[in-house]
Amino acid sequence: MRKVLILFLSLITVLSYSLASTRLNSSDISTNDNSKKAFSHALKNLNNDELDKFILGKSFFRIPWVEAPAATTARDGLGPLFSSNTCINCHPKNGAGVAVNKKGELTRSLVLRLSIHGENEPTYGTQLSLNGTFDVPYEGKPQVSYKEILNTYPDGSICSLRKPTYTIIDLQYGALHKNTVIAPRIGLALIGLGLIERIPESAILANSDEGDQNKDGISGRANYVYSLEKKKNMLGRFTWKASAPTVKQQVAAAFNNDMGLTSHLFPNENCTDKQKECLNAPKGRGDKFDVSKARLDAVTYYVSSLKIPTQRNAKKYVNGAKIFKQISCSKCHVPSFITADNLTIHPFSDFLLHDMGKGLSDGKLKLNANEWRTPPLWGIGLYKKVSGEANYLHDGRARSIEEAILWHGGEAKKSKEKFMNLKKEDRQELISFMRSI
Amino acid sequence: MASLSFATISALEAGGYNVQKGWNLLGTGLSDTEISVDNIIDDVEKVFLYDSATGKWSSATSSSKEFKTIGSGKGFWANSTNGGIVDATTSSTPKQSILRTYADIATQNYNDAYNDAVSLKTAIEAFVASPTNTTLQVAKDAWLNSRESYGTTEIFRLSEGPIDAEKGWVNIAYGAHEGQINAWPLDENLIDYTINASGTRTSGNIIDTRGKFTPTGGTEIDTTTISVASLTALNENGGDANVATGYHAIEFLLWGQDQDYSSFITDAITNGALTAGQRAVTDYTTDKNADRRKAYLQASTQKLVNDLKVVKDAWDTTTSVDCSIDATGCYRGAILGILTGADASKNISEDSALKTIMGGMGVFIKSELANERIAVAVLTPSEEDEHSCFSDNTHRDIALNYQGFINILKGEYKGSSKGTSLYSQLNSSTKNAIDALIKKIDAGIASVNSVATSTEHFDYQIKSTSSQNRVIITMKNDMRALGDKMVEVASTLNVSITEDDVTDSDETKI
Repeated sequence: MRKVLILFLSLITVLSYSLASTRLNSSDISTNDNSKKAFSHALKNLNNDELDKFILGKSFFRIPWVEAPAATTARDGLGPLFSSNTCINCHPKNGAGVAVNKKGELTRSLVLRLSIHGENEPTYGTQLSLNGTFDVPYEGKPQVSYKEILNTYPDGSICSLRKPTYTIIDLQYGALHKNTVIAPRIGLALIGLGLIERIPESAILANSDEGDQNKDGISGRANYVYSLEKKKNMLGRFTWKASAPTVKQQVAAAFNNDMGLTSHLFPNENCTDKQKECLNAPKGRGDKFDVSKARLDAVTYYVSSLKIPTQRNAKKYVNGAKIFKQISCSKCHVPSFITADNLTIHPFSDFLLHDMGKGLSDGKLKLNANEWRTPPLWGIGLYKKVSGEANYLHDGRARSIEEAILWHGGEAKKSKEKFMNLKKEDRQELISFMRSI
Repeated sequence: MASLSFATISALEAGGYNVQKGWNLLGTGLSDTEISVDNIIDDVEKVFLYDSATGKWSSATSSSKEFKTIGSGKGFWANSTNGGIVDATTSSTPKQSILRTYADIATQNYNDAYNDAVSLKTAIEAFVASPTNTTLQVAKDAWLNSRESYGTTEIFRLSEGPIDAEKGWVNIAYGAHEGQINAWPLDENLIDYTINASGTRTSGNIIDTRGKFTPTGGTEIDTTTISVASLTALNENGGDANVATGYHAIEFLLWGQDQDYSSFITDAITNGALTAGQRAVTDYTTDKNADRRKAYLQASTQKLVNDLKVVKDAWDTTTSVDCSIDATGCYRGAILGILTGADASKNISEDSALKTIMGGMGVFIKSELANERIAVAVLTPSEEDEHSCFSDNTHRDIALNYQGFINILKGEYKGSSKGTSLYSQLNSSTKNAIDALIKKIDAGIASVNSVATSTEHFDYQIKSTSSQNRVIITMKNDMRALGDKMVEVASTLNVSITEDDVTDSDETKI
């Protein structure tokens, strides 16, 4: 009897495995749409139940959450401290965030993380909230000023970079601790997250070279972080610092930090013990948490099931592709991976941390301040189309791909220098190639 | 007996044939042009057809196929009881005829929607002049009636038409008023008091704020006087959920909240499965904000009439001589490809018109109706996500939105044929597949309707404990499949649309 049961179970395992591995074809995961809706398509061939989950997730991603207790009980629990009332505010049309608006003001796509030697700021917590519900004061207003720095190429052409300085005014709970480090982070484009999650860990680790054993000047460090879901250390793949091991954990973290919504993964409201109004504010009237397990699952499913845009005119830029490899961009922006379900994908990232030099350092000490996860480049040429404006790098300081390249330092310094020594046409071809991927 | 008059047609007249009361001779004269008569006036009783090739006469009715095309050297004797214009085009291809049918349905349907909004305005004025339970009920009935004609127009959305075109001259000329006319879900807290889940009356809304009002996340607006202008400035100010105008704002002002929170959290507020919002008439008489509430109702209804007039005029059969100055009839003209002079550049090619229309039909029934309006409501499940949540009229919204789709597919309006349809062009296998889906959806709609009027409103039917939950889920799945069928429908006309074209992932109103 026992034997039969075991046999039966293993049969199920085999069946479900083969189902997962044959479900999606490469044509199901990409779209030819290159309009502003390019990042909004569901994977093809979802069945009705999957589509339902997608639709439900989308509605909770987009429809505003409201303060508790509200008449709209399905979506109450916003705040008490929050920066945005929807996910989509900071990921416009699922695209990359925009740092400053046309008036030069910072937008809510850019959040300011606060820390003191890796610990939370004692009064304000981990992140500055721009809004509060009812009588709860907001925390402060972020401001940025940019200083233009001229970068001159060996061929004499010039590109100006803007170096940001962040300040917080109108602090509502008193001064920040004097050692506070302000670390700005802009919303990332949300395409292909489910595919990134399905890259086998071993494939990512294959590119890791922590002590730079091969002496190419590029290391690549795997960031192991605690998974709140799996309750063990796992490889971090998501966020600017590779701080999230799974899509779900990052979705739950964003709900908590950016919108003040609790979930089983982040059960506490984001108030510090010095914020009395926040602690005393009415709580959401839903189940135990503002975002139930089913809804967290649905939103996770939604952002994990978005198509990636197909490469556009890539064939036209053979030379650009060649240069991308020649000057070693591809060592970190690794062009392709094969997922566990056997799909070849082209994220142009190794999902590892690299020292990017002092110029990009954010001073946060929990990780090496200069270290950043290689951001995927797929769809980068559509950022502007999708979001209306395109800002690059972790705080959106770069106004163009060219500026972003010029900010590269540390392990990427050599590649940057090679880029600067390219002929102007070759630089342009490289960028055209990048815009096509 | 009807008088006998002759209206011999020897060449195509722009705009159609002017048919007199009585007997008319219609024909192409000696020209060898073939004329398609797409829009036969309803009252033609009897038609006699003469075929010069055979020298024979035969008879037909106005809806018969023979009467739709006047071939070279053929003539008709048609008996009209009232007279009127018969639209005609030379050598219409099926594509032209389909576009003509589409335009004719749009023209009539928006006319009806506009007229019903005007009637609603009359009822609202009467209610405001003398607010009683009786006049309130008359106003509610007028609102419900106005939704009947508007509901079927929604199929014209998402097709780059005057109701919601996001770009180009159509957007500039008509301003995409959909968001002003029918935006939902709306945040009722913004407009008037609500009773929240703790039983507390909320304040800080447009009606109770005399002076400056700033919607959440928006800019400050002077609301000392509630007017069309101030409501327009407030609508979607600070985000798409800040809906201040349109049918649903009026609905909220007439019905008030429909408080049934029990689908979500445990509370004591339950009015029952067949009870809609219960706003007391005293909100308009003894309440201290009665005057502002009346002003809001009047201004929002006036605005609805104004906005619908813009859309109705876009589809007018009389085309303005200069669309850059006056856009009356210009969209209709553009889609029929009959604009001339400087406006000729606005004409939309048949294939691109058909592509946006068929893509829009697919997106509407699949992404908007099945997904946003039905799936979100039934999956959440929350009555806030039903379309007409104050009046509990959602079952009619669904039925009418779906009817609008069928109208265009089959070239019908109010049950009668309006000319060549997409459906008539289909091969039998596509037809059979579509017929099967329609049969299933019809059954679902009938079930939702009958339960809504006898046992429980839509907001109770979506609960997982209701046996209707499964009916609604199946109905929505079939609507998705019907939307996907537009890819096949388009291919019969050699127009290429993809599954992506009928799936707008970006449709959610926020």
